[in-house]
Amino acid sequence: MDLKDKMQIKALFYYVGRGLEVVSRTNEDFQEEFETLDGIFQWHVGEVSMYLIAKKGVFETHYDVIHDAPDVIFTVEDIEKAKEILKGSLDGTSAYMAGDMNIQGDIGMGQKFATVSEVLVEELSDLLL
Amino acid sequence: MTKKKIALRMLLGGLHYCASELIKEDPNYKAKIEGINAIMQWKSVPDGPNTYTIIKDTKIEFNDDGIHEHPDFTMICKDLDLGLEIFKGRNPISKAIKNGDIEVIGDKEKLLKITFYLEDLIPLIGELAGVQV
Repeated sequence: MDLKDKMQIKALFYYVGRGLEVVSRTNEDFQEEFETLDGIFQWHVGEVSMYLIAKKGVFETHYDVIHDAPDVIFTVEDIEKAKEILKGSLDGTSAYMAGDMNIQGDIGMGQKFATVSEVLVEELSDLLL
Repeated sequence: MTKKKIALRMLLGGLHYCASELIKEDPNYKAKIEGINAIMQWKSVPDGPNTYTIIKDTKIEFNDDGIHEHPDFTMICKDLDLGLEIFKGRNPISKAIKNGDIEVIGDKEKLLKITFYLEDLIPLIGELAGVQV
């Protein structure tokens, strides 16, 4: 993984992670839709990792660390595919079906996270990317 | 909070986060940051987002929703769209300052000396926002 790819994945992780932290605390529609969401979501892209904890739909993000008991682990080895997924130009379900994204753990919870991510992409991706 | 305000917070935060990560990854960038002590404030008028960054001892501390009481300089932007363009890397911050699109209060010389802090990141992450580098 070269420096450019690593920094881009870190930036995208930040946009997703911090974006969910802010939107889940400020957007009433989001809060209403995901108020029962609880879970720990671990992400790995190449050597870059983060995990997100959702408690009653409110997110908290930890960068560059691995949780010892996540509910779901998303792993993407292909860096370009990972960028597409994190930017929202490739949806997670299609990536999973095509074998571009590996999901371990609670698949149902993984699908919930995909829905959450779609809301974030609708909210912000045009403005960020 | 409007979408544009949240997006600007994300972009500012993303850049500062990447800067702090680049210090760990790139010895040349780390060497450029060494010896810099600065408190930079960003204000979007009339009602935010307001952020500040502290660079000290080769470490970066960023607050994406706050005002520092004693910044070395404050950059004031009246146009959220311009802020988004700058922090996507489509409009160099040094040019926006020279053109007067961003008002600077405080130590302008110090600011111009450290614009590299953000501009060095553009070749690495600007591509995400479609910047040709």
